[in-house]
Amino acid sequence: MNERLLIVEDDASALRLIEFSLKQEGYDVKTATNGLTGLKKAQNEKFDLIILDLMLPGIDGFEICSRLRKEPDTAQTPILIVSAKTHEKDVAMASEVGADAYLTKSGNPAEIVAQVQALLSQKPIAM
Amino acid sequence: MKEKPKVLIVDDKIENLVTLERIFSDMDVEFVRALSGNEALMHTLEHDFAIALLDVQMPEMDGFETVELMRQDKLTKHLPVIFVSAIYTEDYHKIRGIASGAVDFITKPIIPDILRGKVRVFLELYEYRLSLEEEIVRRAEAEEKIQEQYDEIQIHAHELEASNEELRNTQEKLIGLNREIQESEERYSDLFDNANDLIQSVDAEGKFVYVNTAWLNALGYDKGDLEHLKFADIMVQEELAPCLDLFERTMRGEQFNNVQITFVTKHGAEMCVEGNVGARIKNGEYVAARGIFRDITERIIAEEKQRELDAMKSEFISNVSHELRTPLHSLKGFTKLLVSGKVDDPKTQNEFLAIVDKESDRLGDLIDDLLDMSRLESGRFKINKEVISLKNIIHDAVERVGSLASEKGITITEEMNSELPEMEVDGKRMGQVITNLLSNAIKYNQENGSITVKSEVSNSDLLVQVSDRGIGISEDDIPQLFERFYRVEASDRIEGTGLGLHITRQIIEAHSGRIWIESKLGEGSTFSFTLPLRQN
Repeated sequence: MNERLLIVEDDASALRLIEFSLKQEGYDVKTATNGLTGLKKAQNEKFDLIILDLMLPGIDGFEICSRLRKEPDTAQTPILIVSAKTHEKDVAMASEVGADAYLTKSGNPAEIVAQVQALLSQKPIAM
Repeated sequence: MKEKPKVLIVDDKIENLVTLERIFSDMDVEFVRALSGNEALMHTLEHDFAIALLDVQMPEMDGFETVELMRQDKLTKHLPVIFVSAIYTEDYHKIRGIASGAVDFITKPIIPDILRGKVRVFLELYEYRLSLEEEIVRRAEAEEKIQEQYDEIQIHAHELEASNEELRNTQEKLIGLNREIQESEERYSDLFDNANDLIQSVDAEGKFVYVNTAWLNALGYDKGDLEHLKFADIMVQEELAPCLDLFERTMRGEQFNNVQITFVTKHGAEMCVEGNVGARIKNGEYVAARGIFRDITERIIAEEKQRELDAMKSEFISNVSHELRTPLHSLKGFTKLLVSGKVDDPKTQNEFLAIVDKESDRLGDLIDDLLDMSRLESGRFKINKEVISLKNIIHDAVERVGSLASEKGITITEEMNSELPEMEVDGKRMGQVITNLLSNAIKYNQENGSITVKSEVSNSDLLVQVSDRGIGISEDDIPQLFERFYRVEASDRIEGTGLGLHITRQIIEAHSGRIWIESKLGEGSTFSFTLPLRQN
């Protein structure tokens, strides 16, 4: 398959974790550690799924998600938000800006992998 | 009908009695006959006589004896007696007669006119005596009546006296009560006037009929101002409508407790108060709305501050949990991967193990920060001083943040004056300080930036400065930078618990030093601190 995935995450360790796990599944993974850089990458390159952290330098995950949804090229791209934040209002906000799923960083990369697979096969796990 | 006066005529010969009666036939008298001295005496027991005419010569008891006997009896002691005698006519008879108590001695033949005249005198005397006696009786009765009335009057007088006494007591009581009322009024007036609370009374037209001193002071008005003041004048615009409504309802008898109102002082300042309002009743009507209020401005401010603090604390807690979760996530994730055997390449394995190590440190540091915070809050924060070279501490700190810096391509330069004296400081804590300042510099720096650490002796202090050419910090944020929980809300990443700088400052101050920042948005920041050189 080799779907192209973009991960925008500024914590190096967290990024490495998700990147490794997804690459193991055979996905083509690109990364960015800065909000602005990540947004630019998403706009200029074609991705099948984008994973966003919320706390990013530059602009935050919500902002990125909201903008991507406004552009025709990325309006339909599945977006998964992965964050250490667990507040209900963050989950609600994620849904408002058009994210397709929200996962809490739980130390189980398999969860993220499963969600990615689900989103790519157009059968999302309920939010 | 007055009784006729009785005349006692005594003679043993009845024809003499007749003769006598004839003499006095034209006089209005009643005759009582007696034919002997004894009979005469007996009659005196039954009748009261005006006069007695006695014959002297009588058998058994003669006139003289009879009269002597009469004189011995109280009843007849003063009965006027005229002797009438034919035989005993000598002077010594007359003398005897008078000596026995008679008033006159008439010898026969009787000259009627003379006897009549004499008798008339005694009759008049008798009448006079009777009328005197009547008078005396009357007077005695009158006196009795007077005495009775007097007694009654005495009683009344006593009663009056008693009433008077009561009245006096009552009056005294009244005076006492009056005094009490006055004192009470004074006390209340004093109480109200000197109360700390604001007290006001507003009439139906909205004018102030009473305000106490606290009110005047708080709102900045003089007594004179009250004439032109209406209660709407002391309300803030936004509250005017609800306050007027409250006023109207109060004037209809409702009471309100713990209402909050904002007053406006004479000079336009706003003042939050809380209090109770109710109506004053006079003659069954509601005539004024009375209110007593406390100034709660300070309380409101304190509540606001508390809310802010609580909000910051909540945010802090939420951030702490978030901050702790991040390294934990990496620790668990990589460990899982390694354990699952999905990592074949030994190089990758080592890479992952190094990450686990690093993240463990990170977690540990966070927990240490939290512990420090807790110690600071409870006053258990301690400094352990030892003589140490600050240069080494700085150098170690720079090394510690080395990998963090290189990730962002940031270079750290040390400009240390090699003549630095040794300092008596808590080495671990100072290391914490330098590390914190360096971490911040790295955080707020752009990629490939540079950080400089300078150290030199300035005046009698050691001065250390950490400068970066990062994004800088706005003027607004600077005052709060070292406060607990405060994080700069830039659109930048907001990482961290906000404790680092606060703890840093506490450490510097515990060393009797000073810490400050100079910064310009877009250009960079310099954190500086001084430590007094140790005294020798």
